[in-house]
Amino acid sequence: MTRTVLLVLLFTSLISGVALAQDASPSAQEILDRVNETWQGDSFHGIIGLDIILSGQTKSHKLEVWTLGEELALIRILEPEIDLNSGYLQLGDELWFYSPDVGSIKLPSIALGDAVFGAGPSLEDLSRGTLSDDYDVAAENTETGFFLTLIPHPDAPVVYGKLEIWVTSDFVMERLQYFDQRGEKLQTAVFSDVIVVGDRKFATTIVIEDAFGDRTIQRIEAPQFDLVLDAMFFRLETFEAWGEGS
Amino acid sequence: MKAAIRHLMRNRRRSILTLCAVLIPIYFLILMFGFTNSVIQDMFESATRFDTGHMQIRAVEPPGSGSALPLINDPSDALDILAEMEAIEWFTVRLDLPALASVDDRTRTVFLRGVVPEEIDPVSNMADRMVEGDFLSSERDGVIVGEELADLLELGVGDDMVLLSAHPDASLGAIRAPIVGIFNAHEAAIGRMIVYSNLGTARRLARSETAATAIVLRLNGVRGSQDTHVMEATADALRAQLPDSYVVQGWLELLPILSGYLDVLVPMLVIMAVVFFGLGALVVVNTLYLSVMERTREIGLILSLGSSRIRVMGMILAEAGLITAAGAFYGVVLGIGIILIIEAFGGIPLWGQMAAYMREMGITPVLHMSITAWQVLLSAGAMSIVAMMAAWFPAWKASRLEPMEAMRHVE
Repeated sequence: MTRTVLLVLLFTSLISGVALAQDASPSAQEILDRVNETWQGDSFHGIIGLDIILSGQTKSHKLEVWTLGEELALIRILEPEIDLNSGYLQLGDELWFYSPDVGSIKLPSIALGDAVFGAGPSLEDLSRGTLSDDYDVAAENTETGFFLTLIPHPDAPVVYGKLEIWVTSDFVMERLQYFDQRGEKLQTAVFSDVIVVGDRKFATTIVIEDAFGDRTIQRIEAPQFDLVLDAMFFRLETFEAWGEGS
Repeated sequence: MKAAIRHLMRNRRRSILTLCAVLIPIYFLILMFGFTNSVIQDMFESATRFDTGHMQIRAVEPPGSGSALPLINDPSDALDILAEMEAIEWFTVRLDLPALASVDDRTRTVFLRGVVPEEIDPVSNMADRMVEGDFLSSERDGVIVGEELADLLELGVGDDMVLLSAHPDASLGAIRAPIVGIFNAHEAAIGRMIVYSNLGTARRLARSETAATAIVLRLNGVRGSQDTHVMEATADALRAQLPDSYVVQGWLELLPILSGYLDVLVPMLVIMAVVFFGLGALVVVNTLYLSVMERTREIGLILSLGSSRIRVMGMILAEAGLITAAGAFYGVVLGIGIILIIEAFGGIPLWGQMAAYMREMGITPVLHMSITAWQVLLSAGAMSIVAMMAAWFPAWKASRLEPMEAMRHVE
């Protein structure tokens, strides 16, 4: 009898162990969601220093970025001085550019994918657009975390043919490789200088190098996550107020 | 020869048919050459006067630079070299920037083309193309837009246009400029895509007082695309003198789509010529062969009287030669005559879809004609050779007839 009870207990614990082990190993989509959550948060505020190195020449910019969810983003240019208080506003599918000199311009939503300064990161990159919506994701375990492969849905409005992401076990991106529709590598983003912000780890330096050797270095200063932001902050009048204040 | 003339006169209807078989292909080929020449010349004039010049000097394009042309930060070194070259008839500096053009809530992707108005007008006659407002001036800020873009953005003279550009070499730039005029573009795509400003306005958008993207050149002694050798020689001379940071590009290299059209035109002409010549040759073979068959007994008699087979063959070929020469002459006269008449009336204006299509391609929708002596000689010569080759078979058949059998031949 005692022997039977022991066997049942052993079997039960084995089953529970397997179930627990399964719970501990998240699905590919869950990993990607966690990566996005770590990367984006519900809201974000930070100062981004940008060095765009093109054909050996460096242009530097400084931007202040606010995001609320995936729909609202406001990017204010701080440097160079000539562009101070210019910026971009994203309200869902609507996109605006504002300059104190010329006022506001409504942009086509396709401009989200264009490089803000003619080279370097796009508006979507700066407003920290989500990775998950338009892609099917597959995951493999690595020694330090996970390796994700993202393939866009056939009708997804994305320019990339494939993304490969290396992620640490605590869901911080280490490396992101972008491929075109023919499978050729376009650019690689390397994430470094990880800091702890609240309960998340966050890479504050991103070096993006394209196939032609041009590089962009993003340094994110004083990142804040899940801060309370009023949706009314995300409007063109905010830019105008800055203009009046300066 | 006398026998050949006599035989031709004997069956005039057949002779006229053979003559037409030679005349019509030559006539049509001359007309086709005339039309094609005119189209190519029109494309050349439109492209080189309004867009590319005969060639351009640009900065070497770094890989992956996208749709934006690389900036020449200061083109004065290249301008100094051009000023010394006798082959250069005219040159001007231009600054093209990809931009977003916005009026109220409406935005379009455009290219802002900064030009020196006083320099481009004598070449392009842009001022004559204004349908509303004024042409540009170096002294006054403002832009002009095509009718197509004016319709798309629902704008008019006096409205303000905001231009936003993000050139990789120049970074972000935004300006507000008044619309001073609306022009009628020679090509619909240009009317939709190009916004012209003076060079100063474009440089303001590029945030540079000396920037350019191209130096546009026209050369002495270039009348059309046939003068490619003149353009290539000048391009080589320029490449030898300019610093390595520059490239020299010819008008066809700058307009690969147009180059594609031209590449298709020549094979099309060859195919049409082969079809015309083939049909003409069939008629020549047919009529001469019938003529030989009808005269079998007569040829048999000639052979039996001691005439050599070569002489008989020569007689038939002489008939073919006479009629080919006459057909070629009348074909050339008719073809050139029609071209002269059409040109005397200023061409034939086209209408409807055809006119719209030609305008889209940058061609004036008027059917003009022009032909070179070489093309006339080619048309007449090639058809004459084909006709004589076609005549060889009936002539050979006639020369191979057995005299006795031929004389017994019953029709």
